[in-house]
Amino acid sequence: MIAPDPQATLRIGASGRYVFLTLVVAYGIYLLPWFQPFLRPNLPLIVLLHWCLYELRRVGHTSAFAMGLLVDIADGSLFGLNALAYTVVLHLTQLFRVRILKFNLWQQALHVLALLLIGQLIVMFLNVFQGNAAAVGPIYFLTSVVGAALWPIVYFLLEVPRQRFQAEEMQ
Amino acid sequence: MDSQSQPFFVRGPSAGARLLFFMAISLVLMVIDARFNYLQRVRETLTAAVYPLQRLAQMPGQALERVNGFFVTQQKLQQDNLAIRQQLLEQSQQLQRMKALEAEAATLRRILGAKEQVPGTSMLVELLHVDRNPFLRKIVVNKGTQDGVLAGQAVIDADGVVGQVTLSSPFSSEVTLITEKGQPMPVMVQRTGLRAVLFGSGRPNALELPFVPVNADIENGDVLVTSGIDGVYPPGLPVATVSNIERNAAYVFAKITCSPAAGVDRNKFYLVLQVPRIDDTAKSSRPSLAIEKGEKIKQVVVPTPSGANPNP
Repeated sequence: MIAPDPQATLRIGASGRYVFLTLVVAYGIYLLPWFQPFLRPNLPLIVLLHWCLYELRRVGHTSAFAMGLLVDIADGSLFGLNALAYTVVLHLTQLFRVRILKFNLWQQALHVLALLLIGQLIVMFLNVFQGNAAAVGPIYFLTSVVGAALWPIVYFLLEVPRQRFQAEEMQ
Repeated sequence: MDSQSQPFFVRGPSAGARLLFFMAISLVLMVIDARFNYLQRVRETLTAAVYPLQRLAQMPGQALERVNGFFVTQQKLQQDNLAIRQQLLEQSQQLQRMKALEAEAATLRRILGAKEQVPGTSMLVELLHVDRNPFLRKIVVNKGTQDGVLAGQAVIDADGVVGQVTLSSPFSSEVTLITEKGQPMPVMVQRTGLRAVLFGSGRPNALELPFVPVNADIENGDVLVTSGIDGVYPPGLPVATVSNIERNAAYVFAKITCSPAAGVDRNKFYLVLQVPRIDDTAKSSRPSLAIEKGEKIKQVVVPTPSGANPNP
């Protein structure tokens, strides 16, 4: 589903396959019917950010763009709306990558919070620009807080099976 | 890790160039998607491609429901049975009255020389999921072009109009609810016959009636029904109830708020009315954008003489 761009991100190899798998799972979770939409973390973006920090070679602008388009499909929003937000957020993450990696997980979560908020602001701005300025209050930004709070959990969920997955691949 | 096989220096355009490239593509895509209909096919294809994953995501919830259904007590079933039988009785009585009224109306219509209404077929659809974008009021239902659900068809529930199908892929379709901001719908006040255009407000339980003069004969509690002149919604379906009217002599129009008659946000099952397509006014997939163009809104409000009933 994600464009197999030779230049970018998901190269053939054990780790690439694992990254791809986690992204598909994150997207699947995003598709789950959620009881309260404002509590739904933006998991595809969080997983993308995780791999951008810890596996820089695997995800880049192309995968962020492709994932954004898929999220646009799921959201029913304009084509390219989330794609734009995802690409910008991923770019910012790349810029601050070295800095963010110096902190521990909870301090990283604060950085992730800022990045997710930037993404939401872009999406909100584009929606308002499009004329969909429906009533969304500050509660709209709650998803970013939830997402940032999940950051350490996501770290363990992604990193622990990854080591096992790759150990199996090596055999 | 196979990082040994990777080139040490990343080749290709720099990060900044890639960012600009993708930003440009996104902006172009957005403009094309908002202003033209070229991307409809792409969107339908991609929606169909994502469909298996979507079904997969639905499964846990459905399984849970099935397990819950298994453990219903007998007492509850009996109660339900009783309630349903009572309801059936009441409704069959109503139905009989309805039949009489229908016959009467048919005679009257024949007398008036009006054409028969098209008795369109309808299709029961189930809610798959609510679109995640909190700025939009859209839902996705489980029937698509394979079952004859097409963009432009009206969607109702037991109490009234819910919305309109705006995108149909093979196995699912997207319904824009009447509460979507700027979604227009021609209506008529049932009591007086006053015609107006009802707009969604973007809030879940509110509709607006913006262009009704301050001195118009309209009251709290008035029922709004579809007028049928748009060729999309059959006439006479209840749409909303007037809930609040602010008349300020300083303005030309009264500020009228209505609440939808149907359980727009609450149902799990809906009916899609498969009335034969009358004209292409309903084709526009983004009604909120169509309003911005003056000529399109005219098409929605003014009935086309040829558009009444092409194939009765």
